[in-house]
Amino acid sequence: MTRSRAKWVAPTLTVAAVLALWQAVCSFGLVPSFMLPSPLQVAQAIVDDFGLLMSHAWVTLAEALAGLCLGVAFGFLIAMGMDRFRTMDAALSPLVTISQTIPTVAIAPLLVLWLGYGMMPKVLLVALTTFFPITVSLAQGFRSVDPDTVDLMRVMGASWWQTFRLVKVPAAAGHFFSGLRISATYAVVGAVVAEWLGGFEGLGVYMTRVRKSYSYDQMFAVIIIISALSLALMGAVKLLERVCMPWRRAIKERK
Amino acid sequence: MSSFRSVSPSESDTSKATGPGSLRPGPAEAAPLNPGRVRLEAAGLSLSWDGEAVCEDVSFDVREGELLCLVGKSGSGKTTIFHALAGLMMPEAGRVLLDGEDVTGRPGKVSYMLQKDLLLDQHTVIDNVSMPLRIAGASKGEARDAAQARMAEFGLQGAEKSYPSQLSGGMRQRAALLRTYLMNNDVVLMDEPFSALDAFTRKDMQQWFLSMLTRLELSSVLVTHDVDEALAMGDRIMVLAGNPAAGTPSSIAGMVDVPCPRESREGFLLTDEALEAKKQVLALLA
Repeated sequence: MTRSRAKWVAPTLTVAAVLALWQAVCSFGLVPSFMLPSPLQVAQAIVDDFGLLMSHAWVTLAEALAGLCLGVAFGFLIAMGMDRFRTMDAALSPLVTISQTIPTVAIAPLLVLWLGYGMMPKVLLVALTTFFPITVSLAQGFRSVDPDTVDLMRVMGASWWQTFRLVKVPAAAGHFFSGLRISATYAVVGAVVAEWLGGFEGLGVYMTRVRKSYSYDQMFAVIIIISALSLALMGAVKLLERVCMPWRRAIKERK
Repeated sequence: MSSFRSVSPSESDTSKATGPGSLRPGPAEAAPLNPGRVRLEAAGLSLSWDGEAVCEDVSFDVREGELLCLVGKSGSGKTTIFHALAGLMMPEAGRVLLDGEDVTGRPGKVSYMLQKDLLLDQHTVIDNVSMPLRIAGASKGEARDAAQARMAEFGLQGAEKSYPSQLSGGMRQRAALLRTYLMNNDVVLMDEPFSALDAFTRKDMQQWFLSMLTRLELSSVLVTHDVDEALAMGDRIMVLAGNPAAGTPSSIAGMVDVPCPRESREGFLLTDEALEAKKQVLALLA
Protein backbone atom coordinates (compact mmCIF):
# COMPACT_ATOMS: atom_id res chain seq x y z
CA MET A 1 0.00 0.00 0.00
CA THR A 2 2.69 2.48 1.06
CA ARG A 3 4.78 1.49 -1.93
CA SER A 4 2.00 2.11 -4.41
CA ARG A 5 1.31 5.47 -2.75
CA ALA A 6 4.99 6.47 -3.01
CA LYS A 7 4.72 5.65 -6.71
CA TRP A 8 2.51 8.65 -7.42
CA VAL A 9 3.24 10.96 -4.47
CA ALA A 10 6.90 11.47 -5.40
CA PRO A 11 6.38 12.46 -9.07
CA THR A 12 3.43 14.71 -8.20
CA LEU A 13 5.57 16.57 -5.67
CA THR A 14 8.40 16.97 -8.18
CA VAL A 15 6.10 18.46 -10.81
CA ALA A 16 4.50 20.74 -8.24
CA ALA A 17 7.92 21.91 -7.06
CA VAL A 18 9.07 22.72 -10.60
CA LEU A 19 5.84 24.66 -11.30
CA ALA A 20 6.21 26.57 -8.02
CA LEU A 21 9.82 27.48 -8.81
CA TRP A 22 8.84 28.57 -12.31
CA GLN A 23 6.00 30.72 -10.92
CA ALA A 24 8.34 32.25 -8.33
CA VAL A 25 10.97 33.14 -10.96
CA CYS A 26 8.29 34.98 -12.99
CA SER A 27 6.46 36.57 -10.03
CA PHE A 28 9.65 38.04 -8.57
CA GLY A 29 10.53 39.48 -11.97
CA LEU A 30 13.78 37.53 -12.40
CA VAL A 31 12.82 36.91 -16.03
CA PRO A 32 10.65 39.41 -17.98
CA SER A 33 7.21 37.99 -18.77
CA PHE A 34 7.50 38.51 -22.54
CA MET A 35 10.41 36.07 -22.54
CA LEU A 36 9.00 33.49 -20.15
CA PRO A 37 5.31 33.49 -19.25
CA SER A 38 4.41 32.22 -15.80
CA PRO A 39 2.52 28.93 -15.36
CA LEU A 40 -0.59 30.90 -14.36
CA GLN A 41 -0.41 32.94 -17.58
CA VAL A 42 -0.04 29.73 -19.60
CA ALA A 43 -3.00 28.19 -17.82
CA GLN A 44 -4.99 31.33 -18.53
CA ALA A 45 -4.01 31.10 -22.24
CA ILE A 46 -5.17 27.46 -22.37
CA VAL A 47 -8.52 28.38 -20.81
CA ASP A 48 -9.01 31.43 -23.09
CA ASP A 49 -8.19 29.62 -26.36
CA PHE A 50 -9.47 26.20 -25.37
CA GLY A 51 -11.96 25.88 -28.23
CA LEU A 52 -9.46 26.94 -30.84
CA LEU A 53 -6.72 24.71 -29.40
CA MET A 54 -9.03 21.70 -29.44
CA SER A 55 -10.10 22.21 -33.04
CA HIS A 56 -6.44 22.31 -34.09
CA ALA A 57 -5.58 19.41 -31.80
CA TRP A 58 -8.16 17.18 -33.51
CA VAL A 59 -6.53 17.76 -36.88
CA THR A 60 -3.08 16.96 -35.51
CA LEU A 61 -4.37 13.89 -33.69
CA ALA A 62 -6.08 12.61 -36.85
CA GLU A 63 -2.87 13.04 -38.87
CA ALA A 64 -0.82 11.38 -36.13
CA LEU A 65 -3.18 8.41 -35.87
CA ALA A 66 -3.52 7.91 -39.62
CA GLY A 67 0.25 8.13 -40.04
CA LEU A 68 0.84 5.78 -37.14
CA CYS A 69 -1.55 3.19 -38.57
CA LEU A 70 0.13 3.43 -41.95
CA GLY A 71 3.58 3.19 -40.32
CA VAL A 72 2.53 0.13 -38.29
CA ALA A 73 1.07 -1.61 -41.36
CA PHE A 74 4.15 -0.84 -43.42
CA GLY A 75 6.53 -1.84 -40.60
CA PHE A 76 4.66 -5.10 -40.05
CA LEU A 77 4.81 -6.04 -43.73
CA ILE A 78 8.53 -5.30 -43.96
CA ALA A 79 9.33 -7.19 -40.75
CA MET A 80 7.24 -10.13 -41.95
CA GLY A 81 9.04 -10.18 -45.29
CA MET A 82 12.40 -9.97 -43.55
CA ASP A 83 11.44 -12.96 -41.42
CA ARG A 84 10.19 -14.98 -44.37
CA PHE A 85 13.01 -14.31 -46.82
CA ARG A 86 16.59 -14.08 -45.70
CA THR A 87 17.60 -12.16 -48.83
CA MET A 88 14.94 -9.57 -48.11
CA ASP A 89 16.35 -9.18 -44.62
CA ALA A 90 19.84 -8.63 -46.00
CA ALA A 91 18.62 -6.29 -48.73
CA LEU A 92 16.33 -4.14 -46.61
CA SER A 93 18.15 -3.89 -43.28
CA PRO A 94 20.54 -1.09 -44.37
CA LEU A 95 17.77 0.76 -46.20
CA VAL A 96 15.53 0.71 -43.14
CA THR A 97 18.35 2.07 -41.01
CA ILE A 98 19.31 4.75 -43.54
CA SER A 99 15.71 5.90 -43.78
CA GLN A 100 15.94 6.76 -40.11
CA THR A 101 19.05 8.92 -40.48
CA ILE A 102 17.29 11.30 -42.87
CA PRO A 103 16.21 14.29 -40.78
CA THR A 104 12.45 14.73 -40.69
CA VAL A 105 12.72 18.49 -40.93
CA ALA A 106 14.65 18.15 -44.18
CA ILE A 107 12.24 15.80 -45.88
CA ALA A 108 9.04 17.56 -44.77
CA PRO A 109 9.34 20.50 -47.25
CA LEU A 110 9.85 18.00 -50.08
CA LEU A 111 6.72 16.12 -49.14
CA VAL A 112 4.81 19.40 -49.02
CA LEU A 113 6.20 20.28 -52.44
CA TRP A 114 5.16 16.94 -53.90
CA LEU A 115 1.84 16.47 -52.18
CA GLY A 116 0.56 19.96 -51.42
CA TYR A 117 -0.75 21.54 -48.24
CA GLY A 118 -3.38 18.96 -47.40
CA MET A 119 -3.28 16.10 -44.90
CA MET A 120 -1.38 13.69 -47.14
CA PRO A 121 2.20 14.95 -46.64
CA LYS A 122 1.67 15.07 -42.86
CA VAL A 123 0.33 11.53 -42.70
CA LEU A 124 3.19 10.32 -44.85
CA LEU A 125 5.82 12.03 -42.75
CA VAL A 126 4.36 10.51 -39.59
CA ALA A 127 4.34 7.10 -41.28
CA LEU A 128 7.98 7.54 -42.29
CA THR A 129 9.08 8.43 -38.77
CA THR A 130 7.02 5.75 -37.04
CA PHE A 131 7.61 2.66 -39.18
CA PHE A 132 11.25 2.30 -38.13
CA PRO A 133 10.78 1.50 -34.43
CA ILE A 134 7.97 -0.85 -35.41
CA THR A 135 10.02 -2.69 -38.04
CA VAL A 136 13.05 -3.06 -35.81
CA SER A 137 11.13 -4.21 -32.75
CA LEU A 138 8.96 -6.64 -34.71
CA ALA A 139 11.92 -8.14 -36.59
CA GLN A 140 13.67 -8.63 -33.26
CA GLY A 141 10.53 -10.19 -31.79
CA PHE A 142 10.18 -12.65 -34.67
CA ARG A 143 13.83 -13.60 -34.30
CA SER A 144 13.42 -14.16 -30.55
CA VAL A 145 11.42 -17.34 -31.16
CA ASP A 146 13.29 -20.47 -30.06
CA PRO A 147 14.29 -22.48 -33.18
CA ASP A 148 13.19 -25.61 -31.31
CA THR A 149 9.67 -24.19 -31.20
CA VAL A 150 9.77 -23.75 -34.96
CA ASP A 151 10.90 -27.39 -35.24
CA LEU A 152 8.04 -28.44 -32.99
CA MET A 153 5.59 -26.63 -35.26
CA ARG A 154 7.08 -28.43 -38.26
CA VAL A 155 6.66 -31.76 -36.47
CA MET A 156 3.01 -30.85 -36.02
CA GLY A 157 2.84 -30.27 -39.76
CA ALA A 158 2.47 -26.48 -39.55
CA SER A 159 2.94 -24.32 -42.64
CA TRP A 160 5.11 -21.20 -42.55
CA TRP A 161 2.03 -19.04 -42.19
CA GLN A 162 0.66 -21.11 -39.29
CA THR A 163 3.97 -20.91 -37.46
CA PHE A 164 4.07 -17.18 -38.11
CA ARG A 165 0.55 -16.54 -36.93
CA LEU A 166 0.42 -18.90 -33.94
CA VAL A 167 3.98 -18.59 -32.65
CA LYS A 168 5.88 -15.64 -34.06
CA VAL A 169 3.25 -12.92 -33.91
CA PRO A 170 2.29 -13.62 -30.27
CA ALA A 171 5.95 -13.96 -29.30
CA ALA A 172 6.73 -10.58 -30.87
CA ALA A 173 3.82 -8.79 -29.17
CA GLY A 174 5.95 -7.53 -26.28
CA HIS A 175 8.60 -6.16 -28.64
CA PHE A 176 5.92 -4.66 -30.86
CA PHE A 177 4.33 -2.67 -28.07
CA SER A 178 7.62 -1.23 -26.84
CA GLY A 179 8.22 -0.10 -30.43
CA LEU A 180 4.69 1.25 -30.67
CA ARG A 181 5.14 3.30 -27.48
CA ILE A 182 8.14 5.03 -29.03
CA SER A 183 6.35 5.46 -32.36
CA ALA A 184 3.30 6.98 -30.65
CA THR A 185 5.41 9.83 -29.27
CA TYR A 186 7.11 10.33 -32.64
CA ALA A 187 3.70 10.47 -34.30
CA VAL A 188 2.40 13.66 -32.67
CA VAL A 189 5.75 15.44 -32.94
CA GLY A 190 6.06 14.33 -36.58
CA ALA A 191 2.65 15.70 -37.40
CA VAL A 192 3.46 19.05 -35.76
CA VAL A 193 6.77 19.34 -37.62
CA ALA A 194 5.03 18.66 -40.91
CA GLU A 195 2.43 21.32 -40.14
CA TRP A 196 5.12 23.92 -39.50
CA LEU A 197 6.07 23.78 -43.12
CA GLY A 198 2.72 24.53 -44.57
CA GLY A 199 -0.95 23.91 -44.04
CA PHE A 200 -4.16 25.52 -42.93
CA GLU A 201 -4.94 23.86 -39.62
CA GLY A 202 -3.35 21.80 -36.88
CA LEU A 203 -1.33 22.57 -33.78
CA GLY A 204 1.85 23.14 -35.82
CA VAL A 205 0.13 25.78 -37.95
CA TYR A 206 -1.31 27.46 -34.87
CA MET A 207 2.12 27.36 -33.22
CA THR A 208 3.74 29.13 -36.15
CA ARG A 209 1.05 31.78 -36.02
CA VAL A 210 1.38 32.58 -32.31
CA ARG A 211 5.17 32.53 -32.52
CA LYS A 212 5.09 35.13 -35.24
CA SER A 213 2.93 37.37 -33.00
CA TYR A 214 5.32 36.82 -30.06
CA SER A 215 2.53 35.58 -27.79
CA TYR A 216 4.65 33.21 -25.80
CA ASP A 217 1.94 32.35 -23.29
CA GLN A 218 -0.13 30.95 -26.17
CA MET A 219 2.93 29.20 -27.54
CA PHE A 220 3.49 27.44 -24.20
CA ALA A 221 -0.17 26.52 -24.19
CA VAL A 222 0.29 24.71 -27.51
CA ILE A 223 3.38 22.95 -26.23
CA ILE A 224 1.43 21.67 -23.25
CA ILE A 225 -1.38 20.45 -25.50
CA ILE A 226 1.15 18.63 -27.70
CA SER A 227 2.67 16.96 -24.64
CA ALA A 228 -0.77 16.02 -23.42
CA LEU A 229 -1.61 14.47 -26.80
CA SER A 230 1.59 12.42 -26.79
CA LEU A 231 0.94 11.26 -23.25
CA ALA A 232 -2.64 10.33 -24.10
CA LEU A 233 -1.46 8.33 -27.10
CA MET A 234 1.14 6.54 -24.98
CA GLY A 235 -1.55 5.79 -22.41
CA ALA A 236 -3.76 4.36 -25.13
CA VAL A 237 -0.91 2.13 -26.28
CA LYS A 238 -0.39 0.91 -22.72
CA LEU A 239 -4.09 0.11 -22.43
CA LEU A 240 -4.06 -1.73 -25.76
CA GLU A 241 -1.02 -3.67 -24.59
CA ARG A 242 -2.84 -4.83 -21.46
CA VAL A 243 -5.83 -5.96 -23.49
CA CYS A 244 -3.76 -7.71 -26.16
CA MET A 245 -1.35 -9.50 -23.85
CA PRO A 246 -3.38 -11.29 -21.15
CA TRP A 247 -0.49 -13.69 -20.49
CA ARG A 248 1.56 -10.79 -19.10
CA ARG A 249 -1.02 -10.29 -16.38
CA ALA A 250 -0.96 -14.02 -15.63
CA ILE A 251 2.81 -13.91 -15.08
CA LYS A 252 2.50 -10.88 -12.79
CA GLU A 253 -0.28 -12.49 -10.78
CA ARG A 254 1.89 -15.48 -10.15
CA LYS A 255 4.67 -13.31 -8.79
CA MET B 1 4.87 -57.97 -22.91
CA SER B 2 1.36 -59.24 -22.31
CA SER B 3 0.75 -56.04 -20.35
CA PHE B 4 0.30 -54.11 -23.60
CA ARG B 5 -3.07 -55.67 -24.24
CA SER B 6 -4.55 -54.96 -20.82
CA VAL B 7 -5.96 -51.64 -21.96
CA SER B 8 -9.49 -50.64 -21.17
CA PRO B 9 -10.96 -47.79 -23.18
CA SER B 10 -11.85 -44.82 -20.99
CA GLU B 11 -15.15 -42.93 -21.02
CA SER B 12 -13.61 -40.03 -22.85
CA ASP B 13 -12.65 -42.35 -25.68
CA THR B 14 -16.27 -42.85 -26.62
CA SER B 15 -17.09 -39.15 -26.41
CA LYS B 16 -14.07 -38.49 -28.53
CA ALA B 17 -15.11 -40.91 -31.21
CA THR B 18 -18.53 -39.33 -31.58
CA GLY B 19 -17.90 -35.68 -30.65
CA PRO B 20 -16.09 -33.03 -32.62
CA GLY B 21 -12.82 -34.54 -31.46
CA SER B 22 -13.15 -37.71 -33.48
CA LEU B 23 -9.96 -36.88 -35.33
CA ARG B 24 -8.36 -39.98 -33.90
CA PRO B 25 -10.19 -43.30 -33.62
CA GLY B 26 -10.48 -44.50 -30.03
CA PRO B 27 -8.60 -47.69 -29.11
CA ALA B 28 -11.97 -49.48 -28.92
CA GLU B 29 -12.32 -49.57 -32.69
CA ALA B 30 -8.62 -50.18 -33.38
CA ALA B 31 -7.22 -53.66 -33.84
CA PRO B 32 -5.57 -55.21 -30.76
CA LEU B 33 -1.89 -54.48 -30.32
CA ASN B 34 0.53 -56.79 -32.02
CA PRO B 35 3.87 -56.61 -30.17
CA GLY B 36 5.57 -58.39 -33.02
CA ARG B 37 4.67 -55.76 -35.61
CA VAL B 38 7.32 -53.21 -36.55
CA ARG B 39 5.95 -49.65 -36.59
CA LEU B 40 8.98 -47.41 -37.04
CA GLU B 41 12.22 -48.50 -38.61
CA ALA B 42 15.55 -46.77 -38.98
CA ALA B 43 17.39 -48.42 -41.86
CA GLY B 44 21.13 -47.71 -42.06
CA LEU B 45 20.93 -44.06 -41.00
CA SER B 46 24.10 -42.01 -41.38
CA LEU B 47 23.72 -38.47 -40.12
CA SER B 48 25.89 -35.43 -40.03
CA TRP B 49 25.46 -32.04 -38.48
CA ASP B 50 27.38 -28.98 -39.61
CA GLY B 51 29.66 -31.14 -41.73
CA GLU B 52 30.54 -33.39 -38.80
CA ALA B 53 29.55 -37.05 -39.02
CA VAL B 54 27.36 -37.75 -36.00
CA CYS B 55 26.45 -41.38 -36.47
CA GLU B 56 26.95 -44.13 -39.00
CA ASP B 57 24.78 -47.00 -40.11
CA VAL B 58 22.23 -46.84 -37.32
CA SER B 59 19.49 -49.43 -37.75
CA PHE B 60 16.76 -50.42 -35.32
CA ASP B 61 13.03 -50.88 -35.15
CA VAL B 62 10.27 -49.87 -32.82
CA ARG B 63 7.59 -52.47 -32.30
CA GLU B 64 3.94 -51.85 -31.70
CA GLY B 65 3.19 -50.75 -28.13
CA GLU B 66 6.76 -50.93 -26.89
CA LEU B 67 8.90 -48.31 -25.24
CA LEU B 68 12.41 -48.40 -26.62
CA CYS B 69 14.96 -46.42 -24.63
CA LEU B 70 17.89 -44.84 -26.41
CA VAL B 71 20.76 -44.38 -23.99
CA GLY B 72 24.03 -42.61 -24.70
CA LYS B 73 26.42 -40.08 -23.27
CA SER B 74 25.79 -36.41 -23.95
CA GLY B 75 27.03 -35.42 -27.37
CA SER B 76 26.65 -38.92 -28.76
CA GLY B 77 23.98 -37.79 -31.23
CA LYS B 78 20.73 -38.97 -29.63
CA THR B 79 18.88 -35.76 -30.45
CA THR B 80 20.22 -35.77 -34.02
CA ILE B 81 18.85 -39.28 -34.53
CA PHE B 82 15.48 -38.03 -33.24
CA HIS B 83 15.55 -35.11 -35.66
CA ALA B 84 16.05 -37.56 -38.49
CA LEU B 85 13.28 -39.88 -37.25
CA ALA B 86 10.92 -36.90 -36.97
CA GLY B 87 11.70 -35.89 -40.55
CA LEU B 88 13.32 -32.60 -39.57
CA MET B 89 16.57 -33.43 -41.36
CA MET B 90 17.73 -35.52 -44.29
CA PRO B 91 20.19 -38.33 -43.57
CA GLU B 92 23.41 -38.68 -45.55
CA ALA B 93 22.38 -42.28 -46.11
CA GLY B 94 19.61 -44.59 -45.02
CA ARG B 95 15.86 -44.29 -44.63
CA VAL B 96 13.16 -43.91 -42.03
CA LEU B 97 10.16 -46.18 -42.50
CA LEU B 98 6.80 -45.88 -40.79
CA ASP B 99 4.69 -49.00 -41.22
CA GLY B 100 6.87 -49.78 -44.21
CA GLU B 101 6.29 -46.39 -45.87
CA ASP B 102 9.29 -44.18 -46.53
CA VAL B 103 8.90 -41.02 -44.40
CA THR B 104 12.49 -39.80 -44.60
CA GLY B 105 12.59 -36.02 -44.35
CA ARG B 106 8.81 -35.73 -43.98
CA PRO B 107 7.81 -34.07 -40.72
CA GLY B 108 4.36 -34.63 -39.24
CA LYS B 109 4.31 -38.43 -39.56
CA VAL B 110 5.82 -39.21 -36.18
CA SER B 111 5.07 -37.28 -32.99
CA TYR B 112 8.05 -35.72 -31.31
CA MET B 113 8.32 -34.33 -27.82
CA LEU B 114 11.38 -32.14 -27.69
CA GLN B 115 13.74 -31.78 -24.77
CA LYS B 116 12.10 -28.63 -23.45
CA ASP B 117 8.32 -28.71 -23.02
CA LEU B 118 8.11 -25.74 -25.42
CA LEU B 119 4.68 -24.65 -24.26
CA LEU B 120 3.94 -21.25 -25.74
CA ASP B 121 3.74 -18.60 -23.01
CA GLN B 122 1.27 -16.51 -24.99
CA HIS B 123 -1.38 -19.21 -25.31
CA THR B 124 -3.54 -20.71 -22.57
CA VAL B 125 -3.01 -24.35 -21.62
CA ILE B 126 -6.03 -25.51 -23.61
CA ASP B 127 -4.84 -23.63 -26.69
CA ASN B 128 -1.35 -25.03 -26.26
CA VAL B 129 -2.43 -28.64 -26.07
CA SER B 130 -4.95 -28.28 -28.89
CA MET B 131 -2.39 -26.62 -31.18
CA PRO B 132 -1.84 -29.79 -33.31
CA LEU B 133 -5.58 -29.96 -34.03
CA ARG B 134 -5.69 -26.32 -35.11
CA ILE B 135 -2.74 -26.89 -37.39
CA ALA B 136 -4.54 -29.88 -38.85
CA GLY B 137 -7.37 -27.55 -39.81
CA ALA B 138 -9.83 -27.61 -36.90
CA SER B 139 -11.36 -24.33 -35.78
CA LYS B 140 -10.35 -22.89 -32.43
CA GLY B 141 -13.61 -24.08 -30.86
CA GLU B 142 -13.44 -27.61 -32.28
CA ALA B 143 -9.81 -27.97 -31.25
CA ARG B 144 -10.59 -26.78 -27.72
CA ASP B 145 -13.54 -29.17 -27.38
CA ALA B 146 -11.50 -32.13 -28.55
CA ALA B 147 -8.64 -31.31 -26.18
CA GLN B 148 -11.08 -30.64 -23.34
CA ALA B 149 -12.33 -34.23 -23.56
CA ARG B 150 -8.80 -35.37 -22.67
CA MET B 151 -7.82 -32.82 -20.03
CA ALA B 152 -9.02 -34.82 -17.00
CA GLU B 153 -7.38 -38.00 -18.24
CA PHE B 154 -4.06 -36.15 -18.33
CA GLY B 155 -4.59 -34.59 -14.89
CA LEU B 156 -5.03 -31.12 -16.32
CA GLN B 157 -8.63 -30.37 -15.35
CA GLY B 158 -9.05 -26.82 -14.07
CA ALA B 159 -5.88 -25.61 -15.79
CA GLU B 160 -7.54 -24.91 -19.15
CA LYS B 161 -7.49 -21.14 -18.93
CA SER B 162 -4.18 -20.87 -17.10
CA TYR B 163 -1.04 -19.83 -18.88
CA PRO B 164 1.97 -22.19 -18.93
CA SER B 165 3.93 -19.84 -16.65
CA GLN B 166 1.38 -20.58 -13.93
CA LEU B 167 1.92 -24.35 -14.03
CA SER B 168 4.33 -26.54 -12.08
CA GLY B 169 7.02 -28.46 -13.95
CA GLY B 170 5.05 -31.71 -13.70
CA MET B 171 1.87 -30.11 -15.03
CA ARG B 172 3.78 -28.56 -17.93
CA GLN B 173 5.10 -32.01 -18.82
CA ARG B 174 1.60 -33.48 -18.69
CA ALA B 175 0.40 -30.73 -21.00
CA ALA B 176 3.30 -31.39 -23.36
CA LEU B 177 2.40 -35.09 -23.44
CA LEU B 178 -1.25 -34.33 -24.18
CA ARG B 179 -0.19 -32.01 -27.00
CA THR B 180 2.09 -34.75 -28.34
CA TYR B 181 -0.75 -37.25 -28.14
CA LEU B 182 -3.07 -34.92 -30.05
CA MET B 183 -0.54 -34.83 -32.88
CA ASN B 184 -2.50 -37.89 -33.81
CA ASN B 185 0.31 -40.33 -34.55
CA ASP B 186 0.70 -43.39 -32.44
CA VAL B 187 4.47 -43.47 -32.76
CA VAL B 188 5.98 -40.99 -30.33
CA LEU B 189 9.55 -39.79 -29.81
CA MET B 190 10.43 -38.32 -26.42
CA ASP B 191 13.73 -36.53 -25.88
CA GLU B 192 14.59 -36.47 -22.16
CA PRO B 193 11.14 -35.26 -21.16
CA PHE B 194 12.00 -35.19 -17.45
CA SER B 195 15.34 -33.39 -17.56
CA ALA B 196 13.91 -30.15 -16.16
CA LEU B 197 12.11 -31.79 -13.22
CA ASP B 198 13.29 -32.27 -9.65
CA ALA B 199 14.09 -35.81 -8.50
CA PHE B 200 10.75 -36.51 -6.78
CA THR B 201 8.54 -35.15 -9.53
CA ARG B 202 10.69 -37.05 -11.95
CA LYS B 203 9.99 -40.41 -10.29
CA ASP B 204 6.25 -39.71 -10.28
CA MET B 205 6.28 -38.57 -13.88
CA GLN B 206 8.16 -41.66 -15.04
CA GLN B 207 5.46 -43.85 -13.53
CA TRP B 208 2.69 -41.67 -14.86
CA PHE B 209 4.14 -41.50 -18.38
CA LEU B 210 4.54 -45.25 -18.45
CA SER B 211 0.91 -45.81 -17.44
CA MET B 212 -0.29 -43.27 -20.02
CA LEU B 213 1.79 -44.77 -22.83
CA THR B 214 0.34 -48.20 -21.98
CA ARG B 215 -3.18 -46.89 -21.76
CA LEU B 216 -3.00 -44.91 -25.01
CA GLU B 217 -1.32 -47.83 -26.81
CA LEU B 218 1.52 -45.68 -28.08
CA SER B 219 4.71 -47.08 -29.55
CA SER B 220 7.54 -44.89 -28.37
CA VAL B 221 11.22 -44.14 -28.22
CA LEU B 222 12.62 -42.36 -25.18
CA VAL B 223 16.01 -40.69 -25.20
CA THR B 224 17.74 -40.48 -21.84
CA HIS B 225 21.24 -40.38 -20.42
CA ASP B 226 20.01 -41.83 -17.14
CA VAL B 227 20.36 -45.61 -17.10
CA ASP B 228 18.03 -45.94 -14.09
CA GLU B 229 15.33 -44.05 -15.97
CA ALA B 230 15.74 -46.39 -18.93
CA LEU B 231 15.42 -49.40 -16.62
CA ALA B 232 12.40 -47.92 -14.87
CA MET B 233 10.53 -47.28 -18.10
CA GLY B 234 11.90 -49.14 -21.12
CA ASP B 235 10.99 -52.50 -22.59
CA ARG B 236 14.29 -52.58 -24.44
CA ILE B 237 17.35 -50.40 -24.02
CA MET B 238 19.44 -49.47 -27.02
CA VAL B 239 22.93 -48.17 -26.30
CA LEU B 240 24.52 -45.58 -28.53
CA ALA B 241 28.30 -45.24 -28.24
CA GLY B 242 30.83 -42.97 -29.88
CA ASN B 243 32.18 -39.45 -29.66
CA PRO B 244 31.39 -37.45 -32.81
CA ALA B 245 33.16 -34.34 -31.53
CA ALA B 246 36.41 -36.32 -31.36
CA GLY B 247 35.92 -37.75 -34.85
CA THR B 248 34.35 -41.08 -33.92
CA PRO B 249 30.78 -41.18 -35.24
CA SER B 250 28.36 -42.99 -32.97
CA SER B 251 26.92 -46.38 -33.68
CA ILE B 252 24.69 -48.80 -31.85
CA ALA B 253 26.74 -50.70 -29.30
CA GLY B 254 24.02 -53.14 -28.38
CA MET B 255 20.51 -53.83 -27.16
CA VAL B 256 19.48 -54.95 -23.66
CA ASP B 257 16.05 -56.40 -22.82
CA VAL B 258 14.46 -55.26 -19.58
CA PRO B 259 13.28 -58.46 -17.89
CA CYS B 260 10.22 -57.06 -16.17
CA PRO B 261 6.59 -56.50 -17.23
CA ARG B 262 5.34 -52.91 -17.06
CA GLU B 263 2.83 -53.39 -14.27
CA SER B 264 5.48 -54.54 -11.80
CA ARG B 265 8.05 -51.83 -12.47
CA GLU B 266 7.76 -50.29 -9.02
CA GLY B 267 10.60 -51.65 -6.95
CA PHE B 268 12.17 -53.38 -9.96
CA LEU B 269 15.26 -51.17 -9.77
CA LEU B 270 16.20 -52.79 -6.46
CA THR B 271 16.18 -56.36 -7.80
CA ASP B 272 19.14 -58.44 -8.95
CA GLU B 273 17.77 -58.62 -12.50
CA ALA B 274 17.77 -54.85 -12.70
CA LEU B 275 21.34 -54.71 -11.45
CA GLU B 276 22.34 -57.31 -14.02
CA ALA B 277 20.69 -55.35 -16.84
CA LYS B 278 22.28 -52.14 -15.61
CA LYS B 279 25.72 -53.79 -15.69
CA GLN B 280 25.14 -54.82 -19.29
CA VAL B 281 24.12 -51.31 -20.32
CA LEU B 282 27.06 -49.69 -18.53
CA ALA B 283 29.44 -52.17 -20.15
CA LEU B 284 28.08 -51.22 -23.59
CA LEU B 285 28.39 -47.51 -22.79
CA ALA B 286 32.04 -47.77 -21.74
